[in-house]
Amino acid sequence: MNITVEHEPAPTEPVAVMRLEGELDQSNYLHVINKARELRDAGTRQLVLDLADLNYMGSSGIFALRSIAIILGGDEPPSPDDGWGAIHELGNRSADEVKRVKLLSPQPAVDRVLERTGMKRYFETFTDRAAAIAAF
Amino acid sequence: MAYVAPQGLLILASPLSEIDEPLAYQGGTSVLRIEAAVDDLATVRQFIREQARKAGAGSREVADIVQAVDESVSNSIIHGYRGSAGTVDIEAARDGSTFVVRVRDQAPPFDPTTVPLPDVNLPLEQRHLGGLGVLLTRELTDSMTYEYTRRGNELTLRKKLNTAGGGSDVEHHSRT
Repeated sequence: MNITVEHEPAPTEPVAVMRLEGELDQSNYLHVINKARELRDAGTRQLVLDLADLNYMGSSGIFALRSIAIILGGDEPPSPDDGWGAIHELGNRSADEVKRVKLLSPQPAVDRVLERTGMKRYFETFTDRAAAIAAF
Repeated sequence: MAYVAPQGLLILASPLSEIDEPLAYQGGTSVLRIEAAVDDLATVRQFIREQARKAGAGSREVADIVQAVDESVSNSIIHGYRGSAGTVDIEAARDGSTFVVRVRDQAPPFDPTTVPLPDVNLPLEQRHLGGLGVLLTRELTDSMTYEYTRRGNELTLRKKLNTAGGGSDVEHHSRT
């Protein structure tokens, strides 16, 4: 999977657009989280995840989404190495930070994963890049 | 390393071993063996994609089957083997109008059909995120059955082809 990042000006503060190309699974979801951490450390607090070229997302991608939102909120998510307790604890965090992440153009299969796992209610989804950026 | 067998043929892996009693359905069975490593998941998805298409699955059916198998194999690797060496066998065959996939491993006994599923309707801060892989597997297949035999954990997934809807039918068997 390839990850590319662009920075865009926005009404409130700058927005990073992270484009994921390929397939997101257990082998690479931590790379996505680490990339978000790098952006946060460089000052990013708002992120658009461009999923137009993401052909597959496993359930590990859901963990990545929640982790990214927590990271952009200035906190640290639990490590998956901490086991099931960490995974469960993730759900206990405030849902406010999810507003820091917008989703752009998920493909149908990825969209179904977001829908079936109940994530679409929390992560705003757009089909237009400019609209996603302006939504912050 | 992964090995793909043409339909109907057993494969030999190194060290020498056999996949005994593969699925035996009309049209033969294709088998993939991978090491228990997440880097092989892409190979699994591509294998299932190809087999499902050959069996006549439509694009959405293919996507559903690929998701379910990926989640199941991921669970074998991550929660079954937990970093230990091992292999996962993925067998695929068409049985009438049903596409059948069996995931087999030699990790400690674990029945995914008994995993409590998260309530996706709860507010986010009240939700546990564990169990999403099993949730997706159940929702995207028509049947998910488990057995523990002398050959290890065996999870069989069935997806009806060219039909709409489909509930989830869970059975649980355990024998040694």
